[in-house]
Amino acid sequence: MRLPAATTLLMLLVGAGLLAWNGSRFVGAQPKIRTKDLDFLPSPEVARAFSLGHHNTLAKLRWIDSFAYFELQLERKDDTVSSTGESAFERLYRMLVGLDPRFLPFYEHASLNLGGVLNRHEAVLSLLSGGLLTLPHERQLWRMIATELQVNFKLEERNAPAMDTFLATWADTENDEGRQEVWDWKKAMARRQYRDMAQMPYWEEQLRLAKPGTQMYDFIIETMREQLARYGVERLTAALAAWKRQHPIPATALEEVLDPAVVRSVFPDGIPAYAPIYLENGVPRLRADPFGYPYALVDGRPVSPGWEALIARNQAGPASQRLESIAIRTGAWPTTLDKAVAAGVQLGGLPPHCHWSLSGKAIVVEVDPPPFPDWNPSTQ
Amino acid sequence: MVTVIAGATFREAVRSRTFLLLLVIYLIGVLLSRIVGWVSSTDGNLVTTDLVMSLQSVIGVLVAVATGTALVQTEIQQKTLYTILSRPVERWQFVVGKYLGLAASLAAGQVAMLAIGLAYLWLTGAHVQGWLVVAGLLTIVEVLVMAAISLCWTSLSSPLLAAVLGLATYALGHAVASLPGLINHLSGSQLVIASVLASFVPNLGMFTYRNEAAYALPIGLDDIALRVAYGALWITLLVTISVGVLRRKQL
Repeated sequence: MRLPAATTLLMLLVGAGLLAWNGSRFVGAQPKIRTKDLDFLPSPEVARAFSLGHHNTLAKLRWIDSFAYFELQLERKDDTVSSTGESAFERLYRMLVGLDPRFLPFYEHASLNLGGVLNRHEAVLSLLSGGLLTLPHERQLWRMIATELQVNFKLEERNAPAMDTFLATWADTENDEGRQEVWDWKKAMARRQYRDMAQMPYWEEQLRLAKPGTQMYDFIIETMREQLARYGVERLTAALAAWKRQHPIPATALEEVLDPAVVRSVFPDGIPAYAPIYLENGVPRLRADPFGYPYALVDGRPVSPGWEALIARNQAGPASQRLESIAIRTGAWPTTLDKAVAAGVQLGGLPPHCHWSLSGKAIVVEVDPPPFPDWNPSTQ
Repeated sequence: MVTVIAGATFREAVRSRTFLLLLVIYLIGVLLSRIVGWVSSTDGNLVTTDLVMSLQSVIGVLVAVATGTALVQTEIQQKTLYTILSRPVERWQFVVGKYLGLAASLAAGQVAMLAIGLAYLWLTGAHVQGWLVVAGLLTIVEVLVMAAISLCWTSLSSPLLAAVLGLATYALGHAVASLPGLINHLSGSQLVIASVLASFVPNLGMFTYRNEAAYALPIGLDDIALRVAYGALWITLLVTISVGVLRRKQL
């Protein structure tokens, strides 16, 4: 069927006109903040019945529509359902997670809007905890709850063992990568709770609870070694300062400062456990650092070579990333360390017992083996 | 004879412009779904996936109701039914043949929509996984049940009323899926009455696996078989009722 030319022309003209009319609304339109109240907030069960089997879709469309209410609340911060006086945001998010409990942005927005904007942290905690019933392995949920407990409920200050129990429960649901984050939480918690060596009993308790051979166990041992080394260096620095006050000639080795008078001035109440100095038949002796290397005097200051190696190892990551970016740019991996340096990988200075090395496609820091057994609970 | 009528119905439906037009409408809906994804303040993939899967169901159900209610009635109004029934064709053969033809065309349309939808999701970077195909296939069963419901209502009433009743049954069918959570405060005879009444309505929630599929939550083969069998039983019952009513009808 062919349309007459005039009809076709009329259709095209009217069609083009309408298209231009519609499109003109978008030309030069300024972004406008949309604000509106929340007016459709049924219970999750009723919303489910209304959704006709499209729970996820209804929840997401309702959520997108609620962005306008967020804009409104930034100004008003009253957040109430006019008929009942309840929190509209709370009802909204309860409905959304009731419809689609696996969509993480609902929890994130609930945390931001209810907690961040309106300071309704009990409601946030309730929603997030409810989310764990559906998503028990969702790290972001655990992270948000931990933050709520720490920042807004001050659980660590009020009940540190409860916070510890929470972190342990979190760690149980995690893989190795996730556990690292929980451990970082534990480490930060220990630092906030206790200063310096006062942390040791906390980590001893953690070690008692951990299973030998697990990553958690190794992590605790490493943390304790770091604490001991830090303490050892700090005490030896104090000993060196005391030596300088009594001797005009600078010490050339740490053993020189193990004068009983100096030791007494550094440890007036007696030498405590974990100290870098111990008594052998009443004579002060220098202990190896917790990594199995003798403490050394470098440039007039005491150092723990094992702790330095730990810090040096952290430089390998950025160097490897640089190597990878060079390989991507040039299309070839440097085959030797010298070629890597020539290609632009910058390698910082290392302590004498640490060496840069190229291992396959990664730059690593190799460390000479310690001359003494490293510290562990059985050798303490 | 059933296959001849089914084949003719299928060909007629597939060749019609309506079929193509519905695919075009679906395509427009699918394209627009990405815009909703963009405004969602996420990467938009999950939002788009949900919308695409819902569109397949919504358009499929609307088509099933529209065509299911017109299926036999058009033949009666155009008087073509008399020509067919003057031949050695039983009334049940006619109804079953017409339903099977319609079901085949609806299923073809649904498969095309599913393919378009998944291809679009893949092209736009969404994570397309096999469970979405399973969800799409269960949506096809839902659409076929809705076609049978429409056919049944049209045998009992006028096409317009049947369409209204069909859509109401669709709403009820999904509402009864949520009913156990809504009537938990009832007890005694109230609970019995509510449960018995709800049991007369097909539970369309059996076919809404799409909500879980979007998150790649697995479903067992036995569960899929159970849901398909549930749909098949309802289709059998509804088509049988339609046959029974048409047999007694004075044409």
